[in-house]
Amino acid sequence: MKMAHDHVPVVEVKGIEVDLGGVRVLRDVHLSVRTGETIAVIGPSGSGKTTLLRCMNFLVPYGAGTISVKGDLIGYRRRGDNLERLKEQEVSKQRARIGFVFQRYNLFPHRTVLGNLLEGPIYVQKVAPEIARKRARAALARVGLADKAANYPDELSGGQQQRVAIARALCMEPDILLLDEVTSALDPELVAEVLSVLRQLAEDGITMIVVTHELRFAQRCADRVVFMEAGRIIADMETKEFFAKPPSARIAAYIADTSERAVLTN
Amino acid sequence: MDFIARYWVDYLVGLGVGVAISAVSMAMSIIIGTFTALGRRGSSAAVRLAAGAYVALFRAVPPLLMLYFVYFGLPVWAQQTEIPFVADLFEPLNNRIVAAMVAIALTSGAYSTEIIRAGIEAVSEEQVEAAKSIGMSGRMTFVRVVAPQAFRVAFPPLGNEYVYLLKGTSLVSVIGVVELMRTAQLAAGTTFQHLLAYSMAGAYYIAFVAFLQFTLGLLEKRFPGRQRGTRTAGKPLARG
Repeated sequence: MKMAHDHVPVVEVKGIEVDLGGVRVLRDVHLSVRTGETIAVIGPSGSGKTTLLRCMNFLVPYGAGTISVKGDLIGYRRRGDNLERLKEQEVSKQRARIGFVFQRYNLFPHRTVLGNLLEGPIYVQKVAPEIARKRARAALARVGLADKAANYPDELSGGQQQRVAIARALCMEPDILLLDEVTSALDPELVAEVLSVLRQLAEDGITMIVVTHELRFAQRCADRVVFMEAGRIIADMETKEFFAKPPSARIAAYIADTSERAVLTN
Repeated sequence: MDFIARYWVDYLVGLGVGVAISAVSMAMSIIIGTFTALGRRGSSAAVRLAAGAYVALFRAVPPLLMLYFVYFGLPVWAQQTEIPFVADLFEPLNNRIVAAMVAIALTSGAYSTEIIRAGIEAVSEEQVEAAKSIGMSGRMTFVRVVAPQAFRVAFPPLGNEYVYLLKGTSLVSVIGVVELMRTAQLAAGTTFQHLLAYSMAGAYYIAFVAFLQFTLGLLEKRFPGRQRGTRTAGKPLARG
Protein backbone atom coordinates (compact mmCIF):
# COMPACT_ATOMS: atom_id res chain seq x y z
CA MET A 1 0.00 0.00 0.00
CA LYS A 2 2.81 2.42 0.75
CA MET A 3 4.65 3.31 -2.41
CA ALA A 4 6.91 6.23 -3.07
CA HIS A 5 4.39 8.87 -3.95
CA ASP A 6 5.04 11.55 -6.48
CA HIS A 7 4.73 14.89 -4.82
CA VAL A 8 3.08 16.42 -7.85
CA PRO A 9 -0.66 16.19 -7.34
CA VAL A 10 -2.46 14.15 -9.96
CA VAL A 11 -5.83 15.58 -8.90
CA GLU A 12 -6.23 19.15 -7.73
CA VAL A 13 -9.61 20.40 -6.61
CA LYS A 14 -9.61 24.09 -5.75
CA GLY A 15 -12.51 25.94 -4.26
CA ILE A 16 -15.32 24.36 -6.22
CA GLU A 17 -18.94 25.26 -5.71
CA VAL A 18 -21.83 23.30 -7.13
CA ASP A 19 -25.55 24.05 -7.16
CA LEU A 20 -28.04 21.36 -8.08
CA GLY A 21 -31.73 22.11 -8.30
CA GLY A 22 -31.29 25.36 -6.43
CA VAL A 23 -29.45 23.68 -3.56
CA ARG A 24 -25.81 24.37 -2.86
CA VAL A 25 -24.43 20.85 -2.86
CA LEU A 26 -20.72 21.61 -2.65
CA ARG A 27 -19.11 24.57 -0.94
CA ASP A 28 -15.52 25.70 -1.27
CA VAL A 29 -14.11 22.20 -1.64
CA HIS A 30 -10.36 21.76 -1.77
CA LEU A 31 -8.62 18.47 -2.31
CA SER A 32 -5.24 17.39 -3.51
CA VAL A 33 -4.40 13.82 -4.48
CA ARG A 34 -0.93 12.51 -5.25
CA THR A 35 -0.07 9.74 -7.68
CA GLY A 36 -0.61 6.32 -6.20
CA GLU A 37 -2.66 7.56 -3.25
CA THR A 38 -5.88 5.92 -2.20
CA ILE A 39 -8.33 8.43 -0.75
CA ALA A 40 -11.45 7.31 1.06
CA VAL A 41 -14.26 9.89 1.01
CA ILE A 42 -16.74 9.24 3.78
CA GLY A 43 -19.61 11.02 5.43
CA PRO A 44 -23.38 10.98 5.88
CA SER A 45 -25.86 10.78 3.00
CA GLY A 46 -26.36 14.05 1.22
CA SER A 47 -22.93 15.35 2.17
CA GLY A 48 -21.92 15.84 -1.46
CA LYS A 49 -19.42 12.96 -1.74
CA THR A 50 -20.92 11.55 -4.92
CA THR A 51 -21.32 15.00 -6.45
CA LEU A 52 -17.65 15.73 -5.79
CA LEU A 53 -16.65 12.55 -7.56
CA ARG A 54 -18.93 13.28 -10.51
CA CYS A 55 -17.46 16.74 -10.87
CA MET A 56 -14.05 15.21 -11.38
CA ASN A 57 -15.08 13.68 -14.68
CA PHE A 58 -17.54 16.47 -15.34
CA LEU A 59 -20.63 14.28 -15.25
CA VAL A 60 -21.75 17.15 -13.06
CA PRO A 61 -20.44 20.55 -14.10
CA TYR A 62 -19.00 22.69 -11.33
CA GLY A 63 -19.80 26.36 -11.09
CA ALA A 64 -16.79 27.96 -9.44
CA GLY A 65 -13.23 26.92 -8.75
CA THR A 66 -11.16 24.43 -10.73
CA ILE A 67 -10.52 20.74 -10.98
CA SER A 68 -7.38 19.50 -12.70
CA VAL A 69 -6.35 15.95 -13.43
CA LYS A 70 -2.64 15.57 -14.27
CA GLY A 71 -2.52 19.30 -14.87
CA ASP A 72 -5.39 19.24 -17.35
CA LEU A 73 -8.22 21.59 -16.38
CA ILE A 74 -11.44 19.55 -16.46
CA GLY A 75 -14.45 20.88 -18.31
CA TYR A 76 -13.02 24.33 -18.99
CA ARG A 77 -10.33 26.15 -20.89
CA ARG A 78 -8.44 29.16 -19.56
CA ARG A 79 -9.08 32.32 -21.52
CA GLY A 80 -7.14 35.06 -19.91
CA ASP A 81 -8.73 35.55 -16.54
CA ASN A 82 -11.83 33.63 -17.37
CA LEU A 83 -12.79 30.04 -17.75
CA GLU A 84 -14.54 29.00 -20.92
CA ARG A 85 -16.65 25.82 -21.02
CA LEU A 86 -15.23 23.10 -23.20
CA LYS A 87 -17.35 21.53 -25.93
CA GLU A 88 -18.79 18.07 -25.24
CA GLN A 89 -16.29 16.36 -27.55
CA GLU A 90 -13.37 17.90 -25.68
CA VAL A 91 -14.85 16.86 -22.34
CA SER A 92 -15.34 13.34 -23.71
CA LYS A 93 -11.61 13.18 -24.47
CA GLN A 94 -10.88 14.14 -20.86
CA ARG A 95 -13.29 11.54 -19.53
CA ALA A 96 -11.53 8.81 -21.48
CA ARG A 97 -8.54 9.21 -19.15
CA ILE A 98 -10.58 9.13 -15.95
CA GLY A 99 -11.95 5.81 -14.79
CA PHE A 100 -15.37 5.87 -13.13
CA VAL A 101 -17.18 2.99 -11.47
CA PHE A 102 -20.85 3.47 -10.60
CA GLN A 103 -22.83 2.27 -7.63
CA ARG A 104 -25.12 0.28 -9.92
CA TYR A 105 -22.35 -0.92 -12.25
CA ASN A 106 -24.20 0.32 -15.39
CA LEU A 107 -22.83 -2.40 -17.62
CA PHE A 108 -24.07 -2.49 -21.21
CA PRO A 109 -26.68 -5.29 -21.20
CA HIS A 110 -26.53 -5.83 -24.93
CA ARG A 111 -22.84 -6.70 -24.90
CA THR A 112 -20.96 -9.61 -23.36
CA VAL A 113 -18.53 -9.01 -20.53
CA LEU A 114 -15.69 -8.87 -23.04
CA GLY A 115 -17.76 -6.64 -25.29
CA ASN A 116 -18.29 -4.23 -22.40
CA LEU A 117 -14.56 -4.00 -21.85
CA LEU A 118 -13.75 -3.51 -25.53
CA GLU A 119 -16.13 -0.63 -26.25
CA GLY A 120 -13.91 2.07 -24.78
CA PRO A 121 -10.48 1.01 -26.04
CA ILE A 122 -11.61 0.11 -29.56
CA TYR A 123 -14.21 2.76 -30.31
CA VAL A 124 -13.15 5.68 -28.15
CA GLN A 125 -9.40 5.25 -27.90
CA LYS A 126 -9.08 3.70 -31.36
CA VAL A 127 -6.76 1.00 -30.07
CA ALA A 128 -6.16 -1.94 -32.39
CA PRO A 129 -8.60 -4.79 -31.61
CA GLU A 130 -5.91 -7.36 -30.79
CA ILE A 131 -4.25 -5.02 -28.33
CA ALA A 132 -7.62 -4.10 -26.85
CA ARG A 133 -8.41 -7.78 -26.41
CA LYS A 134 -5.13 -8.35 -24.57
CA ARG A 135 -5.90 -5.41 -22.28
CA ALA A 136 -9.40 -6.73 -21.67
CA ARG A 137 -8.26 -10.24 -20.80
CA ALA A 138 -5.62 -8.85 -18.48
CA ALA A 139 -8.20 -6.65 -16.76
CA LEU A 140 -10.60 -9.58 -16.38
CA ALA A 141 -7.84 -11.70 -14.87
CA ARG A 142 -7.04 -8.88 -12.50
CA VAL A 143 -10.59 -8.85 -11.14
CA GLY A 144 -10.78 -12.63 -11.09
CA LEU A 145 -13.31 -13.09 -13.88
CA ALA A 146 -11.23 -14.45 -16.75
CA ASP A 147 -13.71 -17.28 -17.29
CA LYS A 148 -16.71 -14.98 -17.69
CA ALA A 149 -15.63 -13.16 -20.84
CA ALA A 150 -18.42 -14.62 -22.98
CA ASN A 151 -21.21 -14.17 -20.46
CA TYR A 152 -23.80 -11.42 -20.56
CA PRO A 153 -24.09 -9.10 -17.55
CA ASP A 154 -27.49 -10.41 -16.54
CA GLU A 155 -25.99 -13.86 -16.07
CA LEU A 156 -23.67 -12.62 -13.34
CA SER A 157 -24.17 -11.79 -9.68
CA GLY A 158 -24.01 -8.18 -8.52
CA GLY A 159 -20.50 -8.62 -7.16
CA GLN A 160 -19.33 -10.07 -10.45
CA GLN A 161 -20.99 -7.29 -12.42
CA GLN A 162 -19.30 -4.69 -10.28
CA ARG A 163 -15.95 -6.36 -10.83
CA VAL A 164 -16.61 -6.27 -14.57
CA ALA A 165 -17.40 -2.57 -14.21
CA ILE A 166 -14.05 -2.06 -12.48
CA ALA A 167 -12.33 -4.01 -15.27
CA ARG A 168 -14.11 -1.85 -17.85
CA ALA A 169 -12.71 1.27 -16.23
CA LEU A 170 -9.23 -0.26 -15.97
CA CYS A 171 -9.24 -1.16 -19.67
CA MET A 172 -9.11 2.52 -20.53
CA GLU A 173 -5.74 2.72 -18.70
CA PRO A 174 -6.97 5.80 -16.83
CA ASP A 175 -4.83 8.25 -14.88
CA ILE A 176 -7.09 7.86 -11.86
CA LEU A 177 -9.93 5.61 -10.74
CA LEU A 178 -13.07 7.11 -9.22
CA LEU A 179 -15.31 4.69 -7.33
CA ASP A 180 -18.77 5.84 -6.25
CA GLU A 181 -20.08 3.69 -3.38
CA VAL A 182 -19.35 0.64 -5.44
CA THR A 183 -20.47 -1.81 -2.78
CA SER A 184 -23.58 -0.01 -1.53
CA ALA A 185 -25.93 -1.75 -3.95
CA LEU A 186 -24.58 -5.20 -3.26
CA ASP A 187 -25.86 -7.91 -0.98
CA PRO A 188 -23.50 -8.15 2.02
CA GLU A 189 -22.01 -11.52 0.99
CA LEU A 190 -20.89 -10.03 -2.30
CA VAL A 191 -19.21 -6.94 -0.87
CA ALA A 192 -16.01 -8.74 0.15
CA GLU A 193 -15.09 -9.90 -3.35
CA VAL A 194 -15.26 -6.33 -4.65
CA LEU A 195 -13.35 -4.86 -1.72
CA SER A 196 -10.59 -7.40 -2.16
CA VAL A 197 -10.18 -6.30 -5.79
CA LEU A 198 -9.99 -2.69 -4.63
CA ARG A 199 -7.43 -3.57 -1.99
CA GLN A 200 -5.27 -5.22 -4.64
CA LEU A 201 -5.58 -2.19 -6.94
CA ALA A 202 -4.56 0.11 -4.10
CA GLU A 203 -1.51 -2.06 -3.44
CA ASP A 204 -0.67 -1.97 -7.12
CA GLY A 205 -0.35 1.79 -6.80
CA ILE A 206 -3.38 2.95 -8.77
CA THR A 207 -4.51 6.43 -7.79
CA MET A 208 -8.00 5.93 -6.40
CA ILE A 209 -10.68 8.11 -4.88
CA VAL A 210 -13.22 5.88 -3.19
CA VAL A 211 -16.53 7.19 -1.90
CA THR A 212 -17.61 4.56 0.57
CA HIS A 213 -19.47 3.60 3.73
CA GLU A 214 -17.11 0.67 4.31
CA LEU A 215 -15.00 2.12 7.13
CA ARG A 216 -13.02 -1.06 7.75
CA PHE A 217 -11.97 -1.03 4.11
CA ALA A 218 -11.07 2.65 4.39
CA GLN A 219 -9.03 1.97 7.48
CA ARG A 220 -7.11 -0.89 5.86
CA CYS A 221 -6.56 0.42 2.36
CA ALA A 222 -6.78 4.20 2.25
CA ASP A 223 -3.77 6.47 2.65
CA ARG A 224 -6.00 9.37 3.60
CA VAL A 225 -9.55 9.83 4.76
CA VAL A 226 -11.67 12.79 3.75
CA PHE A 227 -14.81 13.40 5.79
CA MET A 228 -17.60 15.44 4.20
CA GLU A 229 -20.78 16.89 5.57
CA ALA A 230 -23.31 19.32 4.11
CA GLY A 231 -21.21 19.97 1.05
CA ARG A 232 -17.95 20.73 2.82
CA ILE A 233 -14.82 18.81 3.60
CA ILE A 234 -14.68 18.77 7.38
CA ALA A 235 -11.55 16.65 7.78
CA ASP A 236 -8.71 15.50 5.51
CA MET A 237 -6.20 13.36 7.40
CA GLU A 238 -3.87 10.41 7.28
CA THR A 239 -5.95 7.27 7.86
CA LYS A 240 -4.15 6.09 10.99
CA GLU A 241 -4.57 9.44 12.71
CA PHE A 242 -8.18 9.80 11.59
CA PHE A 243 -9.30 6.55 13.15
CA ALA A 244 -7.00 6.72 16.16
CA LYS A 245 -8.08 10.22 17.10
CA PRO A 246 -11.24 11.34 15.26
CA PRO A 247 -11.01 15.15 14.95
CA SER A 248 -14.46 15.86 16.39
CA ALA A 249 -17.22 14.32 18.45
CA ARG A 250 -19.50 14.43 15.44
CA ILE A 251 -17.03 12.42 13.39
CA ALA A 252 -16.45 9.99 16.22
CA ALA A 253 -20.19 9.46 16.42
CA TYR A 254 -20.40 8.89 12.66
CA ILE A 255 -17.63 6.30 12.83
CA ALA A 256 -19.27 4.49 15.71
CA ASP A 257 -22.67 4.60 14.06
CA THR A 258 -21.47 3.33 10.69
CA SER A 259 -19.33 0.56 12.15
CA GLU A 260 -22.19 -0.57 14.35
CA ARG A 261 -24.53 -0.76 11.39
CA ALA A 262 -21.94 -2.82 9.54
CA VAL A 263 -21.64 -5.23 12.44
CA LEU A 264 -25.41 -5.63 12.67
CA THR A 265 -25.95 -6.33 8.98
CA ASN A 266 -23.03 -8.72 8.74
CA MET B 1 -63.58 -24.85 -57.52
CA ASP B 2 -63.28 -22.99 -60.81
CA PHE B 3 -63.08 -19.69 -59.07
CA ILE B 4 -60.10 -20.70 -57.00
CA ALA B 5 -58.34 -22.29 -59.96
CA ARG B 6 -58.99 -19.21 -62.07
CA TYR B 7 -57.95 -16.59 -59.54
CA TRP B 8 -55.47 -18.02 -57.05
CA VAL B 9 -52.47 -16.71 -58.97
CA ASP B 10 -53.99 -13.25 -59.41
CA TYR B 11 -54.67 -13.17 -55.68
CA LEU B 12 -51.09 -14.14 -54.97
CA VAL B 13 -49.84 -11.35 -57.20
CA GLY B 14 -52.22 -8.95 -55.49
CA LEU B 15 -50.89 -10.04 -52.10
CA GLY B 16 -47.37 -9.55 -53.40
CA VAL B 17 -48.14 -5.99 -54.48
CA GLY B 18 -49.67 -5.24 -51.10
CA VAL B 19 -46.70 -6.71 -49.24
CA ALA B 20 -44.26 -4.80 -51.41
CA ILE B 21 -46.07 -1.52 -50.81
CA SER B 22 -46.25 -2.23 -47.10
CA ALA B 23 -42.57 -3.12 -46.89
CA VAL B 24 -41.42 0.08 -48.53
CA SER B 25 -43.90 2.15 -46.54
CA MET B 26 -42.78 0.56 -43.30
CA ALA B 27 -39.14 1.25 -44.05
CA MET B 28 -40.00 4.89 -44.76
CA SER B 29 -42.18 4.99 -41.65
CA ILE B 30 -39.30 3.81 -39.46
CA ILE B 31 -36.92 6.35 -40.97
CA ILE B 32 -39.44 9.14 -40.46
CA GLY B 33 -40.15 7.82 -36.97
CA THR B 34 -36.48 7.76 -35.95
CA PHE B 35 -35.75 11.29 -37.09
CA THR B 36 -38.96 12.67 -35.68
CA ALA B 37 -38.42 10.89 -32.36
CA LEU B 38 -34.96 12.41 -32.11
CA GLY B 39 -36.47 15.73 -33.08
CA ARG B 40 -39.03 15.51 -30.29
CA ARG B 41 -36.21 14.97 -27.82
CA GLY B 42 -33.83 17.45 -29.37
CA SER B 43 -32.42 20.70 -28.06
CA SER B 44 -34.10 23.02 -30.55
CA ALA B 45 -37.55 24.15 -29.42
CA ALA B 46 -38.58 24.83 -33.01
CA VAL B 47 -37.73 21.28 -34.05
CA ARG B 48 -39.48 19.84 -31.02
CA LEU B 49 -42.59 21.83 -31.89
CA ALA B 50 -42.54 20.80 -35.53
CA ALA B 51 -42.07 17.14 -34.65
CA GLY B 52 -44.86 17.26 -32.09
CA ALA B 53 -47.16 18.93 -34.61
CA TYR B 54 -46.43 16.26 -37.19
CA VAL B 55 -47.34 13.50 -34.76
CA ALA B 56 -50.51 15.20 -33.56
CA LEU B 57 -51.73 15.99 -37.06
CA PHE B 58 -50.97 12.73 -38.75
CA ARG B 59 -52.41 10.61 -36.01
CA ALA B 60 -55.65 12.57 -36.25
CA VAL B 61 -56.21 12.24 -39.99
CA PRO B 62 -57.82 9.04 -41.33
CA PRO B 63 -55.51 7.11 -43.66
CA LEU B 64 -58.09 7.20 -46.43
CA LEU B 65 -58.23 10.97 -46.31
CA MET B 66 -54.45 11.09 -46.40
CA LEU B 67 -54.50 8.85 -49.46
CA TYR B 68 -56.95 11.09 -51.35
CA PHE B 69 -55.01 14.16 -50.28
CA VAL B 70 -51.71 12.79 -51.53
CA TYR B 71 -52.97 11.20 -54.74
CA PHE B 72 -55.73 13.52 -55.86
CA GLY B 73 -54.97 16.71 -54.03
CA LEU B 74 -51.23 17.32 -54.11
CA PRO B 75 -50.21 16.70 -57.73
CA VAL B 76 -53.01 18.84 -59.13
CA TRP B 77 -52.30 21.66 -56.70
CA ALA B 78 -48.57 21.45 -57.53
CA GLN B 79 -49.39 21.80 -61.22
CA GLN B 80 -51.59 24.79 -60.56
CA THR B 81 -48.87 26.72 -58.71
CA GLU B 82 -47.08 26.89 -62.07
CA ILE B 83 -43.74 26.86 -60.23
CA PRO B 84 -41.61 24.30 -62.10
CA PHE B 85 -39.71 23.19 -59.00
CA VAL B 86 -42.91 22.49 -57.08
CA ALA B 87 -44.61 20.78 -60.02
CA ASP B 88 -41.57 18.55 -60.55
CA LEU B 89 -41.27 17.73 -56.87
CA PHE B 90 -44.81 16.46 -56.60
CA GLU B 91 -45.00 14.90 -60.05
CA PRO B 92 -44.21 11.34 -58.88
CA LEU B 93 -47.35 11.42 -56.78
CA ASN B 94 -49.31 10.99 -59.98
CA ASN B 95 -48.20 7.40 -59.83
CA ARG B 96 -50.72 5.41 -57.78
CA ILE B 97 -48.17 3.20 -56.08
CA VAL B 98 -45.84 6.03 -55.17
CA ALA B 99 -48.75 8.04 -53.81
CA ALA B 100 -49.91 5.01 -51.85
CA MET B 101 -46.48 4.47 -50.29
CA VAL B 102 -46.08 8.11 -49.37
CA ALA B 103 -49.52 8.42 -47.83
CA ILE B 104 -49.15 5.25 -45.80
CA ALA B 105 -45.61 6.09 -44.71
CA LEU B 106 -46.63 9.55 -43.53
CA THR B 107 -49.54 8.25 -41.48
CA SER B 108 -47.65 5.32 -40.02
CA GLY B 109 -44.62 7.50 -39.35
CA ALA B 110 -46.55 9.38 -36.71
CA TYR B 111 -47.20 6.15 -34.81
CA SER B 112 -43.67 4.87 -35.35
CA THR B 113 -42.36 8.10 -33.90
CA GLU B 114 -44.08 7.46 -30.60
CA ILE B 115 -43.02 3.82 -30.53
CA ILE B 116 -39.38 4.68 -31.19
CA ARG B 117 -39.46 7.58 -28.75
CA ALA B 118 -40.75 5.25 -26.05
CA GLY B 119 -37.96 2.84 -26.91
CA ILE B 120 -35.31 5.53 -26.57
CA GLU B 121 -36.77 6.77 -23.30
CA ALA B 122 -36.82 3.24 -21.95
CA VAL B 123 -33.03 3.20 -22.00
CA SER B 124 -31.97 4.42 -18.60
CA GLU B 125 -29.95 7.58 -18.15
CA GLU B 126 -27.41 5.45 -16.28
CA GLN B 127 -26.47 3.80 -19.56
CA VAL B 128 -25.76 7.19 -21.05
CA GLU B 129 -23.63 8.08 -18.02
CA ALA B 130 -21.69 4.84 -18.34
CA ALA B 131 -21.01 5.58 -22.00
CA LYS B 132 -19.95 9.13 -21.16
CA SER B 133 -17.68 7.88 -18.42
CA ILE B 134 -15.59 5.93 -20.92
CA GLY B 135 -15.34 8.98 -23.13
CA MET B 136 -18.02 8.29 -25.71
CA SER B 137 -19.36 11.30 -27.56
CA GLY B 138 -23.10 11.98 -27.70
CA ARG B 139 -23.40 10.47 -31.15
CA MET B 140 -21.39 7.36 -30.33
CA THR B 141 -23.42 6.90 -27.17
CA PHE B 142 -26.61 6.97 -29.18
CA VAL B 143 -25.39 4.64 -31.91
CA ARG B 144 -23.57 2.08 -29.77
CA VAL B 145 -25.42 2.13 -26.47
CA VAL B 146 -28.88 3.73 -26.70
CA ALA B 147 -30.07 2.66 -30.14
CA PRO B 148 -29.39 -1.09 -29.74
CA GLN B 149 -31.28 -1.12 -26.46
CA ALA B 150 -34.06 1.13 -27.74
CA PHE B 151 -34.46 -1.14 -30.74
CA ARG B 152 -35.02 -4.15 -28.52
CA VAL B 153 -37.82 -2.35 -26.70
CA ALA B 154 -39.38 -0.92 -29.86
CA PHE B 155 -39.22 -4.09 -31.93
CA PRO B 156 -42.42 -5.83 -30.78
CA PRO B 157 -44.64 -2.72 -31.09
CA LEU B 158 -43.07 -1.90 -34.44
CA GLY B 159 -43.92 -5.41 -35.56
CA ASN B 160 -47.52 -4.76 -34.58
CA GLU B 161 -47.47 -1.47 -36.43
CA TYR B 162 -46.35 -3.35 -39.51
CA VAL B 163 -49.32 -5.71 -39.31
CA TYR B 164 -51.69 -2.70 -39.10
CA LEU B 165 -49.90 -1.14 -41.99
CA LEU B 166 -50.19 -4.27 -44.08
CA LYS B 167 -53.91 -4.42 -43.53
CA GLY B 168 -54.04 -0.71 -44.27
CA THR B 169 -52.73 -1.34 -47.77
CA SER B 170 -56.16 -2.68 -48.60
CA LEU B 171 -57.24 0.97 -48.66
CA VAL B 172 -55.12 1.76 -51.68
CA SER B 173 -57.56 -0.29 -53.71
CA VAL B 174 -59.71 2.85 -53.81
CA ILE B 175 -57.20 4.70 -55.93
CA GLY B 176 -57.00 1.76 -58.27
CA VAL B 177 -53.88 -0.05 -57.14
CA VAL B 178 -54.39 -3.69 -57.97
CA GLU B 179 -53.40 -5.31 -54.72
CA LEU B 180 -55.23 -8.13 -53.01
CA MET B 181 -58.37 -6.19 -52.09
CA ARG B 182 -58.82 -4.76 -55.57
CA THR B 183 -58.16 -8.13 -57.15
CA ALA B 184 -60.94 -9.60 -55.01
CA GLN B 185 -63.27 -6.76 -56.00
CA LEU B 186 -62.58 -7.30 -59.67
CA ALA B 187 -63.02 -11.04 -59.37
CA ALA B 188 -66.29 -10.56 -57.47
CA GLY B 189 -67.53 -8.07 -60.04
CA THR B 190 -66.74 -10.41 -62.90
CA THR B 191 -68.07 -13.63 -61.44
CA PHE B 192 -70.70 -12.30 -59.04
CA GLN B 193 -69.35 -14.78 -56.47
CA HIS B 194 -68.87 -12.10 -53.87
CA LEU B 195 -68.75 -14.28 -50.78
CA LEU B 196 -66.19 -16.60 -52.27
CA ALA B 197 -64.11 -13.78 -53.67
CA TYR B 198 -63.83 -11.95 -50.35
CA SER B 199 -63.46 -15.12 -48.28
CA MET B 200 -60.53 -16.12 -50.38
CA ALA B 201 -58.96 -12.69 -49.97
CA GLY B 202 -59.50 -13.02 -46.24
CA ALA B 203 -57.80 -16.40 -46.27
CA TYR B 204 -54.76 -14.94 -48.02
CA TYR B 205 -54.50 -12.10 -45.48
CA ILE B 206 -54.90 -14.49 -42.57
CA ALA B 207 -52.30 -16.86 -43.92
CA PHE B 208 -49.78 -14.14 -44.55
CA VAL B 209 -50.28 -12.39 -41.22
CA ALA B 210 -49.97 -15.73 -39.43
CA PHE B 211 -46.68 -16.32 -41.18
CA LEU B 212 -45.59 -12.78 -40.29
CA GLN B 213 -46.48 -13.19 -36.61
CA PHE B 214 -44.54 -16.43 -36.52
CA THR B 215 -41.47 -14.80 -38.05
CA LEU B 216 -41.70 -11.75 -35.82
CA GLY B 217 -42.01 -14.06 -32.82
CA LEU B 218 -38.79 -15.81 -33.75
CA LEU B 219 -37.01 -12.47 -34.22
CA GLU B 220 -38.35 -11.21 -30.89
CA LYS B 221 -36.68 -14.13 -29.19
CA ARG B 222 -33.38 -13.18 -30.75
CA PHE B 223 -33.76 -9.59 -29.53
CA PRO B 224 -35.48 -9.85 -26.16
CA GLY B 225 -37.36 -6.67 -25.38
CA ARG B 226 -36.09 -6.43 -21.86
CA GLN B 227 -32.91 -7.73 -20.38
CA ARG B 228 -33.46 -9.87 -17.32
CA GLY B 229 -32.70 -8.03 -14.14
CA THR B 230 -29.59 -8.59 -12.11
CA ARG B 231 -29.61 -11.33 -9.53
CA THR B 232 -29.00 -9.11 -6.54
CA ALA B 233 -32.18 -7.61 -5.20
CA GLY B 234 -32.30 -3.89 -5.88
CA LYS B 235 -31.25 -2.22 -2.66
CA PRO B 236 -32.23 1.44 -2.41
CA LEU B 237 -29.44 3.67 -3.64
CA ALA B 238 -27.47 5.32 -0.86
CA ARG B 239 -27.33 9.06 -1.39
CA GLY B 240 -23.83 10.52 -1.30
